[in-house]
Amino acid sequence: MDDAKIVQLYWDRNEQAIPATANKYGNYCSSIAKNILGNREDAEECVNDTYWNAWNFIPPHRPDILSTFLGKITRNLSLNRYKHNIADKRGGTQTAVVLDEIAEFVSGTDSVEQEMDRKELIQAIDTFLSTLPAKKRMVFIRRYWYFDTISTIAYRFGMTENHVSVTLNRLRCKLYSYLLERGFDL
Amino acid sequence: MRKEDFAEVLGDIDEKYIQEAETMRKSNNTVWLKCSAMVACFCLLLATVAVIPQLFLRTTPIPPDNSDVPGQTTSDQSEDSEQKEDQRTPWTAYFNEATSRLDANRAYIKGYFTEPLNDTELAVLEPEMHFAYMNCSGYAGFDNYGNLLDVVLSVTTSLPENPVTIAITDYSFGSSYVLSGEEVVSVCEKVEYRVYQYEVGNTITLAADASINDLYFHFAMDVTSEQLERAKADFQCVLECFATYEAGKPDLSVITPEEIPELMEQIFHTLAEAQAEPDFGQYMPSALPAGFEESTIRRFQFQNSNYLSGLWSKGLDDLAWVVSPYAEADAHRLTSVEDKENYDLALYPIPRADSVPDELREIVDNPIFDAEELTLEAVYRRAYKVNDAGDTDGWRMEFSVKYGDVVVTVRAKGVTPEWVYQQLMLLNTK
Repeated sequence: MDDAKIVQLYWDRNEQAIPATANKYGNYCSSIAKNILGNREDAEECVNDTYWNAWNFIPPHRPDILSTFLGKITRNLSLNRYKHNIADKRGGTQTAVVLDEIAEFVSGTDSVEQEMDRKELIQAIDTFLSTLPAKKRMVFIRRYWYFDTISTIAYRFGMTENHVSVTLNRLRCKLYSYLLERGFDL
Repeated sequence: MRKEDFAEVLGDIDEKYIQEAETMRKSNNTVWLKCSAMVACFCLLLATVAVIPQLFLRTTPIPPDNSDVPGQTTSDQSEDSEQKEDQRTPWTAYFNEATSRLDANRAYIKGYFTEPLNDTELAVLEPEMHFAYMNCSGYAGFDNYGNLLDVVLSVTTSLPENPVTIAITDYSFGSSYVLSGEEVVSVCEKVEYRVYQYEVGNTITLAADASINDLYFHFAMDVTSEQLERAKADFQCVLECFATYEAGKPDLSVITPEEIPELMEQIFHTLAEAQAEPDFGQYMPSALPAGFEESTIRRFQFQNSNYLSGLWSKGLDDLAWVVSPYAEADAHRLTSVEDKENYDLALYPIPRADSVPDELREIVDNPIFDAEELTLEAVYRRAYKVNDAGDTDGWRMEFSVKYGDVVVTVRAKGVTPEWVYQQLMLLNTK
């Protein structure tokens, strides 16, 4: 079933919207959740919460690309669950590794004095991504949006794991310099 | 900012980048390299068609997760057995071990010619999925009416000297293997692959056959035992990539010849007729050895072949005389009469496969002398006799002589070195 028809089911408040969504995007959402959370039970809960959120967001939203819409919901729910888990000393080590990479270019402090327009930061990151060759951009997204493992990325793009690690390291440095030059003090 | 917060910020980047990274596998590859034209090496032999008996009556299809094959490495066998788009593990094939092989040969087709595949044609043949090390090149084979008969691709792997050769036809062909056990079929993306491993001497051939979208694919890769593990991984990757064609692809109708070479074939029934042939006739012998009968003399020119050849016989004795243009590719067989190690058969006892050094094998097999240097002694050094029950005990010899930009190749059994030398010297006076 194409995305437009599934979205219309939501708009019609037809309960078949959820099974249709699960059938088409269940695996997709599950893989995002499992990447972040590292365990099946938490991931399943987040995926189910994704469907519930989608039911509540549509309408008024009418997403053009349902996969990305659902993926973002799953990702946010999973990251929230992750934060909850690490507070309880549970959590996927894979996510910790990815976040530690991000930690290389953020201060780690949560200061109320740091005024920052979130939209401007997102726009700057978008602009940075637009300057990258497509393959490097996709490697970056697969790691820091999808939380793919190094080995998964290496296989997907036909690269060695070492090459992936080196590429990501250079991209982090470039992003850090890029944001710093534009006045973002992270 | 905390790292978790930055991770959340990343969640709101432009959706087109998220979509791009998700659908990369199904999109046209922007890093697919342009391929240079190369002739692929493949075992399509031009001979009569052999009927291959169906030696394998029972096959066991493997389900997608390969779970029923003992000892078979399976794809991800985590609790969730569904294929996960984002966390997929490489597909694995079952390599059926073959103890022998029967080669199927396509019938000889006069006028069969080949052309390298251009970029547009290669783009049509490239599958949806690829790996970074995969570069494609190859050629298409046509009949003399320009009809496409087959396509042969060479796909590079992480082993630079060991590409995977892929033949694509609209008819079934290939080799049948005698297996040590029951044949196991490996399924990838709904394509049923029959994958084989066959060892001969120091070479291991990895091969696979499949029907994909009503076309027949035969894959082959030759490796050594040291390369086997890596080669198998690459071979499986190539099979997996070629299983991702969409319905109706590849569309071979775009592959057409740029030019159909002119085919010229002329048969002469007498030596006199052949001597009158304008291109090479003057290089035919002036007469035949005593007792040798007229046979078919053929003038043939098509794509890379251009020659006038005659074959005469007397009982078990025979004489072949072939005239062709000299090509740069022949330069490595040129020899001076001073360099006896290049042609003197007395230096190399039979079996010559053991006595001739590898680096001299081609030149010792068929040296090319310059016509102005040739001596009777050199001809004698190329000649030998054997005591072979049931065959003639006459002189045997094979060598070539260069007359400017023309080469005459002589293969004789039961013809004296003096006769051969005299005929070749007569050509010098023309």
